[in-house]
Amino acid sequence: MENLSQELSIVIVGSGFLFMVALAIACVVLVYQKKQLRQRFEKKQMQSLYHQELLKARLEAHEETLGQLAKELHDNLGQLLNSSKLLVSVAKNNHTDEALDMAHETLTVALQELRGVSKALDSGGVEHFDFIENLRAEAKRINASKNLVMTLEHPDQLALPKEQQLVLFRMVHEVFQNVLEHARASHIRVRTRQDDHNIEVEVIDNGNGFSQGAVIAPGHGIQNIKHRTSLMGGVVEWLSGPTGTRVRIQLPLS
Amino acid sequence: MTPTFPFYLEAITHFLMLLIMGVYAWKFDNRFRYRMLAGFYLVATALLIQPLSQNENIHVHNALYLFTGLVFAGYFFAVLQTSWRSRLALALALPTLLYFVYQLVGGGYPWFDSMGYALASISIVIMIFLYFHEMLHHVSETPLLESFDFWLICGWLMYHLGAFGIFLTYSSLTQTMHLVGESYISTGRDLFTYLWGLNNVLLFLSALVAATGLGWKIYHRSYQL
Repeated sequence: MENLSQELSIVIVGSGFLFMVALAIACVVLVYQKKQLRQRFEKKQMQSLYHQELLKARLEAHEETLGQLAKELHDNLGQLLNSSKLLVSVAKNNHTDEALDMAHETLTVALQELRGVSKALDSGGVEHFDFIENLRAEAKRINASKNLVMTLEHPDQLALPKEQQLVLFRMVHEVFQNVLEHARASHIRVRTRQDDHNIEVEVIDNGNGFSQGAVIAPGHGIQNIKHRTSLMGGVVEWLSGPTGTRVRIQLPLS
Repeated sequence: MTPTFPFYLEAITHFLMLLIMGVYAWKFDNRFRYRMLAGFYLVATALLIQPLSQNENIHVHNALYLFTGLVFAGYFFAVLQTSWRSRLALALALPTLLYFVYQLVGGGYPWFDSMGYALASISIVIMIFLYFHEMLHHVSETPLLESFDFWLICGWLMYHLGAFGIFLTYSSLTQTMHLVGESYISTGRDLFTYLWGLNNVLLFLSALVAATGLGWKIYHRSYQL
């Protein structure tokens, strides 16, 4: 009898123990699956945000390209065609070959400019976007204004996907805009470096700096840069003082 | 005393685990940790089968707990991804090792060393909790039930947590037996038997859990193909 009660106790205790362990394991599995679902949801959200930012960057690049092309057409091509028209008019009235020759030369230059515009329109897509090429073009444009000198230091090409190069360029462009509008700088130095793991872009100006607390406001370009950098898994930092500002953007290559 | 069925369960279970680890290492993942476990179960089976015929397996068991503690520490060191957890798992083998050395220096334990087993079991349970802690803090894309390690470790949790309680009870009963003397032996013997039977049943169930994990992997693979 005593043996039977001992055996029964062992069976009850053993069964109870197994039930408790099974319950604990089931709870662990449920918690894990819940965390997994949340992680998948967050990943999808991040992907969606990333695609939205990419689209936004493409639209901005598209708008800017169109703006620049419109300016090119008006300032350059428009002037050349106007000159050609005047020269043809002079040649018609005075019957001189010289004016016709000059009109011919002017129209040739105009055709070349038109081809350039056509090429720029054609290569405006993300598939052809090149960060270094656009950086050089931007430097040329800024240096042409003679208000500011921009010097560049960069590798021949970046190992980032084209779409990320576009977003990186938009961020760097935002920094340039801030320097042009607020810094009163005379010189900007842009250093681009890459290694096996990261790409780093530094923009250093000799302007009057800013107080970081003053510019962190909703809608400001800095918020945009921070947001885009974090979406791409990178970091951005500002170091500002009375002698200038340094902005460093670092993005992972993976 | 003639061994009854629950006593044969120990050797059968270790042999079953040997088959499970062998099939898994052969079909799915032949990393060192799984081959090490297969080797451990092979040695354990060999050690446990031999003394059954002689009915004197105390010294075999006393060596086996040390072997278990060291092998499992090695396994968890390989499985855990974060460095502090994997080092802690390895360090958890030390108490078992030190206890074994202490007993050895003292002339060896003449009876079943349940305290050594309890120490090895609780160390393994802590390693298992480390695994669960890491798992819940580093969620991956793979469904949990598709991980063979998870099934294996759940089986071990079931066994070693129960075994810890059993071995502590064993140790307490053994000490009482030595204090009270012969009169206790006859009345307490049956309780020892039932407890050991429960221990072996838990061991067998843990092997069934590991077998379920292997079966799930095989089913999942054939379903995908």
